[in-house]
Amino acid sequence: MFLIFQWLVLVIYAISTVFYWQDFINHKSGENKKAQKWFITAVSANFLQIIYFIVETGRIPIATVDEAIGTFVWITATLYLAIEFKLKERSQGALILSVILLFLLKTVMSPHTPQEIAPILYDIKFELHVFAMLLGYSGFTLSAMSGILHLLLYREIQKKELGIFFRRLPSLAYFERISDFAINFGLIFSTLGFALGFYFATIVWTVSFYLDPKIITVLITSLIYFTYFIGRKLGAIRGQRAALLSVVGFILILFSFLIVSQLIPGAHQF
Amino acid sequence: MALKALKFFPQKVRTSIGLSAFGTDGLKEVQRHLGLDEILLVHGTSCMTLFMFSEEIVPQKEDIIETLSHTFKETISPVTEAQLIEGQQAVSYFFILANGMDNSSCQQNSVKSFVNDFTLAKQSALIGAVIQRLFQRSIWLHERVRLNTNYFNVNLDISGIFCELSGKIFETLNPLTVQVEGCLPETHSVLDGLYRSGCRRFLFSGDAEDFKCLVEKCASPLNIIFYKNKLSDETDIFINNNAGSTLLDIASLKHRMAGKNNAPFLILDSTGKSYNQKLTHKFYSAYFYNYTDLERAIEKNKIEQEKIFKEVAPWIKNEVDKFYAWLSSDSRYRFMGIIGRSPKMQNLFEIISRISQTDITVLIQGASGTGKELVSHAVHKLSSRAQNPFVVVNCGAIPENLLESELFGHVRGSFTGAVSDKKGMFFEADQGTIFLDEIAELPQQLQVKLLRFLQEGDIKPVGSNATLKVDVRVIAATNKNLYEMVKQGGFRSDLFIV
Repeated sequence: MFLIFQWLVLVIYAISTVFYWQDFINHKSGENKKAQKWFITAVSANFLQIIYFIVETGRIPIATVDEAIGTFVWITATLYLAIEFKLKERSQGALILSVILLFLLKTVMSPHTPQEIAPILYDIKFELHVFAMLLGYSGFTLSAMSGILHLLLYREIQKKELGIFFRRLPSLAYFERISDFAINFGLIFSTLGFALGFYFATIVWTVSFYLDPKIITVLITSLIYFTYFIGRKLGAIRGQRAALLSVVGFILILFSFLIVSQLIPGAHQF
Repeated sequence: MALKALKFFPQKVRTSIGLSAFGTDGLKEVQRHLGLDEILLVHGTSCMTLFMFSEEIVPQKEDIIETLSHTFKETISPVTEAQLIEGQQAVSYFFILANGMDNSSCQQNSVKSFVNDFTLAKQSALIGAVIQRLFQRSIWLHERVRLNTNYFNVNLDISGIFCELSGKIFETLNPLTVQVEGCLPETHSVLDGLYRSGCRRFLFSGDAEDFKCLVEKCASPLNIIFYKNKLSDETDIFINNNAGSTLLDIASLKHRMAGKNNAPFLILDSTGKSYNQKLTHKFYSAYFYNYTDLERAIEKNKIEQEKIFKEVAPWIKNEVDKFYAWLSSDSRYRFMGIIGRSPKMQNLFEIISRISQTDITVLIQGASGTGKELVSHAVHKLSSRAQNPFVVVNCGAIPENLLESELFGHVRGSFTGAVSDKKGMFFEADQGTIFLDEIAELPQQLQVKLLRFLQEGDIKPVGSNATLKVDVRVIAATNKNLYEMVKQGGFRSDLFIV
């Protein structure tokens, strides 16, 4: 049943992605509204799927990597939808939805094995820790998407080849604003999540967890984002350099989220 | 039946001459000579297009040219090139022209001039239902194209594309500082464009003569500050017109970038100078453009617009077909159950559709049997009150002593025979429309009551102390001359205000 739900959500996201791309390429207002309606439907279905999971299992779906990705996707989509509503600018949707779709495909493709979840993971402190981290990651993802589009637009303007990105995307300054907001958002929640995790670890883990690969990669990532934050405040990092930094940060997150914890054994499950 | 359009290009006829020469009198003469029902002349910057409609006589090309040359011989003769477009092609051309999709160089700002010419022709009664319909449909088509495609957002001039580029880099142009060095003809339109987009700070470097040229030629009220011969640290956009400019060297650029924390810097060079790649890489947030780059972008945009036009072409074709279907059907003579072919009736239909949207009180005058009630019904049906009651009262057919209670109602015991409360016609018509036929027959004391209702919106039933608020739109009709009646004292002057 849960798998059917997952597939349904994936299909709705896929439909809205197609409409967003069509809108991006042709820029027709009819498709524009259709795309947004499908996107709202997808986010709502995703939300229902999470509620269903909570009712069935009695916990938030964040105990395994696939569950966490599912929740992360919903947070990212909701955050982007809020920005879209606020700024009435839909050109980022195509890229963000494509990334969301890739994440969802990963969760659907990997076999869903109901694992024995350690009772400790039902703890509210743990749930808060993961949830805050996911909120942080969502902010960083949005910032990276803005960064990619910024770089594409920047390339066209710098090379003087004013093509589709020039026609369809808003300004470079717009992407900088979105990226700044998303990174601030991400930093607040990831710091909160990190602090919660640290506190939780000192209670639960008896082994030394300071050398956990996951913690190390997250620390490196945080360093990049703090560099971005301070650099922006001082005016030293801006424009395409800031965009590049946010993309690098996102790649590191992907690395820590999907690869490090899966391949290198450590205290974290993912 | 034939719809004819003549498109001709007299040599060097400018709009200003055209407007004075092609006055409505001249056009009326052409209309009379050729026996046309409707005529519309659209001025471009250096050419004119004439749309003609005639239901009976189909004028020949030679007749048209001769009449035009004869009428306007002092200003436009000889007509050097004339092109006659007929039938479907003419209608299609009408839609294209009215939508500003005509790419020929002589039709700049065509939508604006088209609307102006149309308004003028309409005021002079040169056009009737056919061209009116064409115009309405073209507005509809314009909205469709505007809402569904990017056709009108594509920039095809240097100034437009440069402002778009600035917008993509800076987002808002309002706080920017523009520095100009020297003066070249192309600069004026670029500066005007920047001013229209919100730029307000302009600095100038160069000699006094160039400064004078710049200030005089720009259409916008630019407040240019004469600045020293040096790149300002505040500059966001730099326009260089001086081939031997020394303002933009590595040292000054470095200074500017450091001074403004690497804020974006856009350079437009009119001298054709190309900046080397090294400079571009050194200053990552500086953008170097010259006119050739912008022209290349315009060429790209033109291709893009042509692509969109191909998408729009079937819509135009569809409109043309629909127009012909309308033209050959009787429906163009029908309006809410009224049939009328004459221009006067067409004009009446237009008045009805216009006034029906408002709540104003309407008086319909006309001899018996001319369809006053039909008109009142049409006004009601087209208004927002269409779903609410439409009450007809013939003031002449009800005995005078009963009329008050019929109109405003009465309470029980107010007069002999008033055995129960009665709601009047006004009350029945609440939220709707009341049609007072033969209003001239309304007795004087009821005219006062009607006046009170029109002013305050309340009625007082016979014998009641309380007033009732009702929301009723009044349409009155008469076959008498109310103006004469007012003069003779038979009708209250405050009720009949012309």
